[in-house]
Amino acid sequence: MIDLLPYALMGIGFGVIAGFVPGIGIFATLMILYPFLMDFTGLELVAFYVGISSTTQYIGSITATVFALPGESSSLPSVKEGHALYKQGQGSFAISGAAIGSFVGSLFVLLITSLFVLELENLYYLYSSYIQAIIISLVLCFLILSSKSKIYAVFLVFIGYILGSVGCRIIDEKCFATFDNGDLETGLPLISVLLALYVVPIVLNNWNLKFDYTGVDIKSERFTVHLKKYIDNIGASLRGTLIGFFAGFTPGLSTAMSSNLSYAVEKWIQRKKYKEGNYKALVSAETGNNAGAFACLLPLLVLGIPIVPSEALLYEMAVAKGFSLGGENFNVEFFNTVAYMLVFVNLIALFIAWPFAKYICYLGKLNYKQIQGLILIAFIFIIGYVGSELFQSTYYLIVFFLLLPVGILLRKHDTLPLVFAFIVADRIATVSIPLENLIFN
Amino acid sequence: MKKIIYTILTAIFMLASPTFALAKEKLYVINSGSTGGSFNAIMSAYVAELKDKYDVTYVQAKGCTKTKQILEKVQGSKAFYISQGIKAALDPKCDSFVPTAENIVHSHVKFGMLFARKGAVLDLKAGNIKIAYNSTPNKVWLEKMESALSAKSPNTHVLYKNSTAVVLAVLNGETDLGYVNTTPKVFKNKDKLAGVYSLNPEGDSGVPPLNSLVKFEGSEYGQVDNFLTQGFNEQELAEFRKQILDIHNTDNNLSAYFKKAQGTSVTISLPKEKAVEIAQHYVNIWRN
Repeated sequence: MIDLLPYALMGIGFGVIAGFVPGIGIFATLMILYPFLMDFTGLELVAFYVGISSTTQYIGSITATVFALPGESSSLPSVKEGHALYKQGQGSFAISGAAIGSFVGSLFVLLITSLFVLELENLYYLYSSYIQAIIISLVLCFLILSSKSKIYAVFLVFIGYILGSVGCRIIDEKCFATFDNGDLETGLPLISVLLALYVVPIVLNNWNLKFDYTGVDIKSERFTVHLKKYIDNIGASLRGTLIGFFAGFTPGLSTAMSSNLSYAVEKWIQRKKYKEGNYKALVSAETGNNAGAFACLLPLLVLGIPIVPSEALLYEMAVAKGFSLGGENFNVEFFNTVAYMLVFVNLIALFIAWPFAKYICYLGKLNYKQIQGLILIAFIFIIGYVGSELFQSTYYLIVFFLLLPVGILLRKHDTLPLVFAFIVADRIATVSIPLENLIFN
Repeated sequence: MKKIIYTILTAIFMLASPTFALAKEKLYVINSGSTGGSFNAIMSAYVAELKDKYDVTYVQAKGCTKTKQILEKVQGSKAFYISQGIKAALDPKCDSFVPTAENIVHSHVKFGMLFARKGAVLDLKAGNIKIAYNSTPNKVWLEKMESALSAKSPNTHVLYKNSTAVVLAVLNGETDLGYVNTTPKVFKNKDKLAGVYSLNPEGDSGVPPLNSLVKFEGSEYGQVDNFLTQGFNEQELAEFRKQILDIHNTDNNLSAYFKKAQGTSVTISLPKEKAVEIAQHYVNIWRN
């Protein structure tokens, strides 16, 4: 366990950057670090991921509160309430409330989950083809129904499924659109597809965001004053924990759903009392955000199902190292390792995001546009590098550049239905073939 | 001052770069199977043990076609790869991965097993039994068994992605029986599962041989996973076999895996000629 701490610490370090810079996020950070991460063992990768995914939730609220920039859609409540508090000179309370709430939310759900860890271990054994089919169908329906244009989302799911079906299936060794090409037989590379159709549109969408560092000032109060304010509003935090935890299982949306739903419920509870710059609503949203981040990890750790793109990338990296996540590999020992790691990461992240928040804000002085440009260039080198590890660099780059115009065209749209369908295409075949045998034979 | 800085930087660079620190020989380790299966687990464990001696590049080829292409690309370098014997016999894409005296390291010999939930009473000859299996060659084998059984009502064969999914299907009651090529996953769940028939003609850990129920061509066939090389001369191959034997005889993830693999055996400690004979036997029997 102790030997994994340096990897969790590295995750925390990169989580600070991924959480601070809007639009970069965990997936893009993992991609940029890919060559370096491939030297990690499976468990070290998990430790790193726990570090980065938890820390981004803490740091995102600082960017939102101080600069009014949402690192991701889960930070929208912080932009509204946190930044309003900041303008009222209450920025330090907004930051401390969000940080303490996030800490409490994470530890509370961890504690509750640890009480059911033995049941979780057996959950895998109930995971029949029927249940898998229901879960995948529900997820796809949810992604379609939550889209602005349902027909458009159905079209994206279809395209994602077609792209994900290219290659030879393991289950029945049938090949689709491979044209006897060895590269195509291995399927379209996840990295090229996700970068072109998911990450590049996000980066382009955030291209014009600017940090306005002039006049950044976070007045500090005594530790106990902050703590007292939080305890006075702990009810909102606990409500956020519960709502955020369950909403966190929402595939694709996860923490965005957790924080926004917790926020909406808290606003509804306050109704007439509500005024912009509301501490309770902010704390509830931020607590929900971190509770959701943990919930989002559970399907991956227990069943081996990634429900957000960054988890899909982690999963692919781990299996490439011979380390399978979830299923029969989930046990109490593994859960405890992750749990201790989460406690450690949250403790460190709490300190970074609260007493050291003003130092984090210095990152706002960087030229963000240049960073984005560099990241886009880095992606091309990384795709080439990852492909070269498999003697497929040309193939990886061709797929990326062929799909890039599509990604640019789709930059104003949510490409998540496409990405999710691409990721689960193989799983759909894996489930539908036994079901077909069971039902029709 | 500049000199000192340059010296320090050079030293750091040399220490950080494995190429400069110690010129190890290049070895490509290739997994010809899927990333989610036991082949990947085994080859990853080999990589972990071999990287002290070689500059290892681990390649996930995900199939025979890509494995062939990679082996062509790395000709002149040393490569170590895994190949399923039954596929070398039956799948034209894999037919070049035949074990010979020039390429063999060793084989993992195993016998398939039919298994069910503990306490389940099943009559294969009566029929109406749902049997979970994975991989296309096993479908052919199950069909042979079915025609030899002449069951009163036909049994249903349900295809799954891998042996893990087969075991899970039996555990959660989706199917009545499972057929797997290798038994460790069955024995790992011995509190919930029990072997019904083994393809081993002598039976396996108290599980009766399938021959005792029905005899057909293939009812006692074993299978092999072959560990093969490219780019090694005779002497180098002998040295490499010794290194692999040492790995198997040391406490590590790999030796633990094979120790736990009840009902299976490896040929690494046998003389090369005997290892080739066994590997070729278990490939050739499936050719008919």
